[in-house]
Amino acid sequence: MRIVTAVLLGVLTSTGGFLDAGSISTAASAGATFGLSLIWPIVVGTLAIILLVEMSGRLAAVSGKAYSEALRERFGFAFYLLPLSADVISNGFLLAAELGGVSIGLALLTGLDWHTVLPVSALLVFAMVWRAPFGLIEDLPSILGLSALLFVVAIVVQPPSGDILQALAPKVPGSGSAQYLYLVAAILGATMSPYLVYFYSSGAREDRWSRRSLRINRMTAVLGNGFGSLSAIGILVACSVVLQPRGITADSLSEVGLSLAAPFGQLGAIGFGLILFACCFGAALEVSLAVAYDISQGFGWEWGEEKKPVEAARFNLVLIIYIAVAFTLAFVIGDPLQLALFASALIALILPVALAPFLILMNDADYLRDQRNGVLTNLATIAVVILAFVVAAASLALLLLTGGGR
Amino acid sequence: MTTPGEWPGAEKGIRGALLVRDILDGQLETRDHRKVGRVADVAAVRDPDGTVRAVELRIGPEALAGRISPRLRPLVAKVLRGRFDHRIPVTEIAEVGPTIRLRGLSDDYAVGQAEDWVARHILRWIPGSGRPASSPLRERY
Amino acid sequence: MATPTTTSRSGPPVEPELPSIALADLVGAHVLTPRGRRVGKVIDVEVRPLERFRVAALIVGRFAFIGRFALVRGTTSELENVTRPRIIPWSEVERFDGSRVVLREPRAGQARDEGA
Repeated sequence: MRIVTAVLLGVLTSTGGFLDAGSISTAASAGATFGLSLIWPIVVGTLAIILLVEMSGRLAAVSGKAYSEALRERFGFAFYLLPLSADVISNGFLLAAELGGVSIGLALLTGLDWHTVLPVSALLVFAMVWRAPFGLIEDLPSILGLSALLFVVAIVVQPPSGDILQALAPKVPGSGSAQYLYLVAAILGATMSPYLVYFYSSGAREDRWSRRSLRINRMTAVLGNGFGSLSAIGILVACSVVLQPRGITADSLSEVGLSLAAPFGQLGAIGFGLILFACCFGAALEVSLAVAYDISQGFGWEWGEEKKPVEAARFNLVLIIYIAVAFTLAFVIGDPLQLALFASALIALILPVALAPFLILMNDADYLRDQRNGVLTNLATIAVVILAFVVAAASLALLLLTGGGR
Repeated sequence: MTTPGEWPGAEKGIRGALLVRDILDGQLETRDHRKVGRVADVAAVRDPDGTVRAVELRIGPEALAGRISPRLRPLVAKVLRGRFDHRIPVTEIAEVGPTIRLRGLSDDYAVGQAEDWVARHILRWIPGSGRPASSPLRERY
Repeated sequence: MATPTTTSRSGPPVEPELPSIALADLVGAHVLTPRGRRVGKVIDVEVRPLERFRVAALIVGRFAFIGRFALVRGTTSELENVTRPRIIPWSEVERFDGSRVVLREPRAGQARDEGA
């Protein structure tokens, strides 16, 4: 019975926590610009994140180490700096986008301008990571994030006219191929962001997982992310139904709200505000914690959300500084949607650097003993990482060549 | 110098041989279960008779710079002047396992007080940080 | 503090006059015969805590990043058979200049496997 409740809670929080500024922005842009033809990267990315999350939990449960701890101990300090830099830089942009998403959500709910709300968002995120226990951080925003399933309801209320199954096949359109590839990369990067590996393995350590947690881990990973991806697909389809025919290209997050306002009116607009707030808030917590875990564990400092701030002083100092930097980025750059797209594409580009060491660890008997990766898991992960990198590099090249025309 | 057999770690299961890579980058943990950093380097000295002995664990930016390139060490030494680097004698190692357990408590080591320094000088200004650690003279037992 | 802080407890101070070696430099260093032929790279360094932490041997192989499970537990696999790590006692080391380990000339009558 306890296993059932544990799995249930895990699935609910994974489903509600699936979306973030990156996946919302990429799915919306994809639906508004290319209709149904970009559902396949969401599916591919979801399969990849299921694998990554399961591996991440397994690493922590069997080795007793979080990813960064194992990373530094296995590869040494000099090598550790590579994924560390990639992590810190890419997540800086991502966190800025999340803060922007939180602000726009709050702005939609309160009627205030999102720039005014931005400092409030940053403070809310900080207050939560500062004092809230880890369980609350894991559960609260994710439960609220279940509201994202509203997008699935939206598809039922106004189904798409095209044939979804036919649209599932990947094909590059004649024109706008640079933009298409960019979105493929961004969707993959948004769906399989490495910060999740840092966060999940550390979370498993916070919750003191052991081998007994392995089965629950597997079930939660598959079901939670599986259901969660439905909301991403829901956004894409809703935007293809509402925005694409009207020629609205979803250039800002508020425009994305139309996809829910059209079928549900005022309730839809409020619903979208809540979804944005909850999903981006949860992601902001995870991204900032992921980086703080990465740095603190890599340097061997005290870390953990179950400790008072003074007991893990440097860990909390990193949190403060990082949130402040992201806030500044969000303020200066503005436009959270474009920032989210950029951050996601950047993440796709650095996936090999971020995940290659992880994959090596998952095959290291020192850490995983008898629970090392199977051949299929290795091949599937490698395949998706290479795909994401190649597409990201190709789209970057194309965008540079075509002068970023959009 | 400790003579063979006198080294306290002998009780706890380090016998025979120790491999340096089991220590390098290992998590240092004090007897009161506090994490105080990771081993950046292990310093050894060469006796006149040619034997080389490991003597100290090195922690800090100077030692870390040396992991990237040995040529960076003197540069960092000049800039930081050893202000943030620490040394712990290898005889302080009690046990080598998933972490490197040290014999003493966190207050016994200068590097163990870094966390308290940040807590006392930076975090205390933020409400809700928890009671800052008192002076090193606090009661332990 | 102008000098690195030493711990406030435990015993005898370190003699600063003797030349010091960074063991992190030793790990990964190339190992050469006196004639300059490459034997391999230092994978790990064996230290004896009960003998005043003296460096007892070098573990040398082809790939420096090989996982240590294989070394310590002695399991065999494709990779280990290819790389075949060797244990070279420290007494066979002529010098370490900070980046390369040079071995002594083998004594007369003592054949040493020069193959890597």
